[in-house]
Amino acid sequence: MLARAIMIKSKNQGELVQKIEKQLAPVSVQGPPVVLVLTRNGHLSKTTMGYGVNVAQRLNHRLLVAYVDTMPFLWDGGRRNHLFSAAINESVLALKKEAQVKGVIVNHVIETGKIGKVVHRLCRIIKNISFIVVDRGIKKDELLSAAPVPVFYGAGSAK
Amino acid sequence: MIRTILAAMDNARQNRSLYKEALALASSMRARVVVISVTPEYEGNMNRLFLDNPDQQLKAPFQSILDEAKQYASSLGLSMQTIPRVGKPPVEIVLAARQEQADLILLGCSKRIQVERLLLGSTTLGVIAGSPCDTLLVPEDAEIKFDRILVHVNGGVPEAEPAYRQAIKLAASYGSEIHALYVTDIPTDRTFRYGVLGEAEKEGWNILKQFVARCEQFDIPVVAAVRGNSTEQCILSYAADHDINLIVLGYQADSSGVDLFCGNTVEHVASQTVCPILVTRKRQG
Repeated sequence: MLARAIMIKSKNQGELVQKIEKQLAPVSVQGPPVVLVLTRNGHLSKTTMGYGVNVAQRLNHRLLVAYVDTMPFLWDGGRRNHLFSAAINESVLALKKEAQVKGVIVNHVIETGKIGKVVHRLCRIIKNISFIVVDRGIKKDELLSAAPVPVFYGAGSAK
Repeated sequence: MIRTILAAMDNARQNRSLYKEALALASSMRARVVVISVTPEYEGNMNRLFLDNPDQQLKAPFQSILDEAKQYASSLGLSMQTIPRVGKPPVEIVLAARQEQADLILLGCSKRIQVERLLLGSTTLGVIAGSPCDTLLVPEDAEIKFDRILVHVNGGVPEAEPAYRQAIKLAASYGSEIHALYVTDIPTDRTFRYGVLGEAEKEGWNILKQFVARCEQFDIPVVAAVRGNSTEQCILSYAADHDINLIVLGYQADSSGVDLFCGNTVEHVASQTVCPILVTRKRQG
């Protein structure tokens, strides 16, 4: 505080204050707690989408949807990759529409690799993930050993 | 305390997730992440190959990595600064580390054999040699964890001291277990002489005892071991056998130029390791 006060008095006020703010400010402001929705399909199923948005609204959480491409090195001339991206765009549009109505903050992230690794990494990066909602197509064994938070399977998604 | 992490990205597939590891590390240390990508300089004439705007085409993949990293961070609600540069990668990375006052540089580990390294040069060694801070080398798909830390203890070498200090600091902060390894790197012909090996091992245990005593001051659990073979092989095999998460090595600059042809211990370990390596530098002043 003392350093801050001295600096403000000096000539190049704005610049110095900015410098100090940069040093003092917390680096990653993580915001409200997160509900992580996980899918390995380009399209998030309607039930999972609805459940995720409703829960996030009720608990005042933000929603993070991770679209995981589990076969990034599949050699098909980029066809699958293209279709996956197109499906994600459609899904995100629908999701944002639904979330906007309910006033829920939605972010999405596109990941590649094994489901377990992706979940483990996301939970390390975002410290305030409350729980994970899983879409259909993801096996329990893949996920449960890697997830440090509770995992919920949407209707018809458990394998 | 680590406040700024500089992650240096190239367009190699193996290093594509480096910025994600940087974010994870920054999240646990409450640090800020700066990602740099350096487009190598090209002074040739590509007009002869009918390539329009070659500079832009060279820059494009490096810029796309930075864009991808920034988008990833923002979608997770995190902040990240990106720096696109053109020039020699080691020089630009070191320069950026100084400008941004980085406390740690994150680099991907490229697995190159000796001939490749000689012909293509090594960015890793260039960055480590010029770096104003410690460097963390992260192999493909490796996760940065601090559960079991391996330290190469080699006695009176002054360059090793920062490695010991950093390992103890990390272990104290993360509640890790330290594995202290002393290697009796004696030439084969000398090992046949009576008592040489025994003497070296005895000296090793004495050095390890001192290190263990230092760790005990901080209540850090330590496992000490003495091995006899080449240093690199011992470190790698020990790390594999004991499921080590991080190897801490002190960087010893070689003024004779032998490193240029034969490689450095750090480089040899980095070319084969599966876990991250923290290379510590003796700080100036």
